[in-house]
Amino acid sequence: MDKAWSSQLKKGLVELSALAALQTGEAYGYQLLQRLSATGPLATTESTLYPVLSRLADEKLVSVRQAPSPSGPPRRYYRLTAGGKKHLDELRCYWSELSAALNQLLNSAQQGERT
Amino acid sequence: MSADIPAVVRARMNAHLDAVETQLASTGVPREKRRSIIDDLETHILEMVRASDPQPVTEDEINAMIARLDPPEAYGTEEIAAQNSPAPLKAPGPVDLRLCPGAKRGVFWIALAIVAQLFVLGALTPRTVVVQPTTTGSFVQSDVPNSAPPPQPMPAPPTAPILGTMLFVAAGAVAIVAPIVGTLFGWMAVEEIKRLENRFYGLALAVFAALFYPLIVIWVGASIVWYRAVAADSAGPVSDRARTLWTIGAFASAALLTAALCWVLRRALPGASIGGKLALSR
Repeated sequence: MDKAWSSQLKKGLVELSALAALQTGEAYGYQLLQRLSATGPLATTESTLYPVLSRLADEKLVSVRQAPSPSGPPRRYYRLTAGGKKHLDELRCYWSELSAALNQLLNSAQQGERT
Repeated sequence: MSADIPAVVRARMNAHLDAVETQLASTGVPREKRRSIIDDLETHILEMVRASDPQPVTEDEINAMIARLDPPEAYGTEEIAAQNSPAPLKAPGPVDLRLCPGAKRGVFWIALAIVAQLFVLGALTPRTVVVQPTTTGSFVQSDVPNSAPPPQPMPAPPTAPILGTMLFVAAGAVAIVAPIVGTLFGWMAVEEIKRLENRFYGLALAVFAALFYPLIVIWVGASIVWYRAVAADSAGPVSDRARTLWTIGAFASAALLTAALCWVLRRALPGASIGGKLALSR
């Protein structure tokens, strides 16, 4: 899966993945990366995730809370806002439509090959 | 813990953070955003350092850790991509741009409120009771507005008072509730349009719905305060001078608040004329 197209495809999904990963509770950047890594295919890297988190905070889709860290400077904890939850619902609906349409297309192409 | 990090490790870490910040700056990432990304990255590296065994971390180990991270050139691609190509997955984009339903509802409720309030005001207009003889010698009592021409006696249908009262109560309820509903819809629509600007337009309509009644309330409040101030000197009936002063003050404050509303609408709608395409522009 280490192809350029797969990383391009995943980049488009980082916002949805990050918001979805924050549903289980607030997390700081590194923690969120680990949550995404645990999913396998949705694993991403810091150069992709941190700018997206910063943008989501700008758009007030996530709130930021600073808390002391045992390892140095304060950690920035991200949490879904009400707007973020709503936006996630919209993205979820959009994703469902998108994946259903794509699956339909892929399945019909597969059936065409069989016949 | 950060105090335990050897200086050479800290220096290598800082060099990487500086390189990333320079890269972000070169791709046009604003300062605030750069700072938050760098803070996250610093926490990230420190977490890796903390989790490392054995402690303290050596120069080779920090080099190996930084080698596992994305290179500085990998940063800022979101900004470059945003400038050069379509955005990543977003809920319906510019092709679905449509008038925000909340703004439409807000303006509808505000219009409904105005109609209901005019109806109630009309019904509450002081009327003169005129008693006059009919041709048969009996007397007929009728309600007419002060300014109306002399009344013609006409028997009203028996259901009219009940129907009129019901209509008055309904209009009164709408006159009270509709401004609140309209204002709330307006504020929600402003928030929604700002958040999903690639999806909805109608910010001017939303701002109008959000501010129209709050400004009316401010105006009524200011007029009452002003009336009390100018009438304070008169022990008996309010003098003509006080009445004139109050009228001037009421008109001036109305003009001021209208100007404030126009100013806010202009800010919500840069480059558009208030009288022209105001309603449907973004």
